[in-house]
Amino acid sequence: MTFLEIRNIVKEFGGKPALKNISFEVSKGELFSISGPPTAGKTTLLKIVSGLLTPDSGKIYLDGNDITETPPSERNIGMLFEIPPVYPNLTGFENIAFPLRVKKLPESEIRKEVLRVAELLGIKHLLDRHPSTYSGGEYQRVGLARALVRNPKVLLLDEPFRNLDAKIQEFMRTWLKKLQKEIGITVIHATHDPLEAMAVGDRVGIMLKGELKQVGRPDEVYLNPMDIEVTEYITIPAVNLFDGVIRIKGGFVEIDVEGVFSLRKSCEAGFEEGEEGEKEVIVGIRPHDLRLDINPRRDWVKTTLALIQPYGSEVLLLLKLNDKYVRAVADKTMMLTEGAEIYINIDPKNIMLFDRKTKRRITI
Amino acid sequence: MTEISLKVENLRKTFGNTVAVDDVTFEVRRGEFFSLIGPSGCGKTTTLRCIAGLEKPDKGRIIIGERDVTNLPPQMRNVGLVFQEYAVFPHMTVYENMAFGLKIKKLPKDEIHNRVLRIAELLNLEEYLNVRAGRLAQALMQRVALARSIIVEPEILLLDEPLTLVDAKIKELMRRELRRYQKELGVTILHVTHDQLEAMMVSDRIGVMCQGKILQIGTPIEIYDKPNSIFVARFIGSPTMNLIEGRLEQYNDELFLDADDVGIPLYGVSSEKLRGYIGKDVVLGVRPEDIEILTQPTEGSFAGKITLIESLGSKLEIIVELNSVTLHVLSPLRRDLKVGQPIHLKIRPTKAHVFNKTTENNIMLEEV
Repeated sequence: MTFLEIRNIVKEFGGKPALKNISFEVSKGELFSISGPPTAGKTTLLKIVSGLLTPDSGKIYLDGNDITETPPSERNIGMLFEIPPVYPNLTGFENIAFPLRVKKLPESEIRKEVLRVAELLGIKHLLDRHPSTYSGGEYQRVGLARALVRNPKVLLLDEPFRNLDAKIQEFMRTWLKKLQKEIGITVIHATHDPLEAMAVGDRVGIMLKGELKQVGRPDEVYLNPMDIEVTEYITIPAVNLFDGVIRIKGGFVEIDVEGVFSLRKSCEAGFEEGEEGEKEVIVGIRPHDLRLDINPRRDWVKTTLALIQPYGSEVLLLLKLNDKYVRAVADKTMMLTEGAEIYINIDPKNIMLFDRKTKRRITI
Repeated sequence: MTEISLKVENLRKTFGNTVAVDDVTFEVRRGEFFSLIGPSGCGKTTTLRCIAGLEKPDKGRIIIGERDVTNLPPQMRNVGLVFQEYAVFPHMTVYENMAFGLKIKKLPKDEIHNRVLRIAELLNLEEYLNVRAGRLAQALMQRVALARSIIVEPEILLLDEPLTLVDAKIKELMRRELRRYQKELGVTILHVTHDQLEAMMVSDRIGVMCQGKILQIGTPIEIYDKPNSIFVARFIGSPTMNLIEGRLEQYNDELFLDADDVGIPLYGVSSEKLRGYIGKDVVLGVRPEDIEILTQPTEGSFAGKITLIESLGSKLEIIVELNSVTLHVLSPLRRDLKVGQPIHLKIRPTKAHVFNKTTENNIMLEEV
């Protein structure tokens, strides 16, 4: 059921479009992650939802009410930024209590509320300390406590982990997701890192150049990106793209990949109903989907291994194919040396095809 | 014989009562890419600053090339420095940026010109030579910063978190470029970062630091496969290695971990090194990719229940609960698993690490 609805939001800055007709819905208790490169419009959107900015047009509904004109203080929406406004001269307790003091709540109630949130976030040990003694993760948790203390209906998180050590980021992602499920709060989370969005979000929205291009469950978006831009943005390590031509003939499609690979698979539909013939495409293949062998095989293509980079449990490979570089991922146990020959092949089932003119994904 | 570019011996640096660097010793070979990694406050940046001459150590020696530079000022040390913020002049062209250091050294004009062209060719910067540096994209600007530092031909290049502020998407590209250019040019690099994945991707060897000390030095794969301590095991690898406390027990020749309400079989683990630890408290470490999820029980498997499934793009991170123990499992994409589902787990043979609970050292690496 829709809890928060963003409808046709448009925003320009000095004649430059920042948000182009953004619409999406968030259910109660859902964690919705918006991901896009810097300047995609994520922060502008969050500021509009919180009321810090006014849209040029469009509406925002929360729990059935139109809040587009409601001032920020009356929206009951909490917000946590990359660098939270934690006052260095106040203790953890006073920092968290601050929004309640502004509201002039009675002391006993403030105390109860601060302790409740501190308990929830596991930061009771920080209440008597000053922020200068906090680690990055602790600092961020106190900031989050401040945003949660008013019991907001919606929590907005703008790059909450960006300033943290890589290892702490990883910990905070899981921590946030568990906490969110525990307290059942509705969250919109914005990040430049597509992997963070996919790891954290119940659903993700991919935002590019002011446009919300695709919304769906993380696995849906990953497996069925709608066009080249979305595919390139969400695939890390970067997707390989080749020029190709597809020909449909009698229930089969032949895919010619830059004259290097010739693939064939059965197809039910044509490009359109009953259409046969040729189409210029871009063929996308993710590094994880490229098949590799150190021994020559029939119909496989020879490449030279230009670079090996350990990548956790795997190794990232840069392969030289004629005058082009191809990225692949191999198991760490594969015996590899730079400069050696590697044979590659593509499973037609793992490729993605895009119309070369419209850049949109085509399925055949 | 391998030549040594940098030798750090028994380096110590304190700030008031805090020991930032505590008896650190290591060497960087000529042409090597060496990374010092660790969490904030571990002493890695202070070590780098001592080497650069920006901090004066309390004790120890720093030798660059053949020279003891411990008491020399920064400009006499023959090191190049690249920081988090790009050290380029935005109003100058790429050419002027690259020529800057050579002009200060008062090199002849044609020599400067030749060097700029040569480095620009190697780093693929030729087409940007007349562009103002401030107008370049992030990745290019960092390449110019690199070009500026290596053009003066330092004995060693010091990189302090050069990619920390870069966006996730561009990071991968820059890590690849950094490694390729370093190899092509044969430059010696000492690099400092908190990002273990970055260090793995670019380095020949890594030194893992914790509380002012270097705990382990090795190639990325050595450190990943054979962490010598709980700290290194936890710091390297993402998702983090599972670490479970319990008592080591033996039953019918098979070893298992008795963790209160759970028994975890250490299937196929050689018992020789562990013999002395049977009946004692240990910490079992298993990487998330070294646990297999099965729908049917098999020899050496144990039961659990899925509590969370996270998408990591090409992989799934599956969180499994076995009574009081939570395990993170990394799995290829599959569609047959659901939250709440009872499943069976198995540790891949020989992939278990066992740590001494008191010393936190890896028992499997101990000499028998």
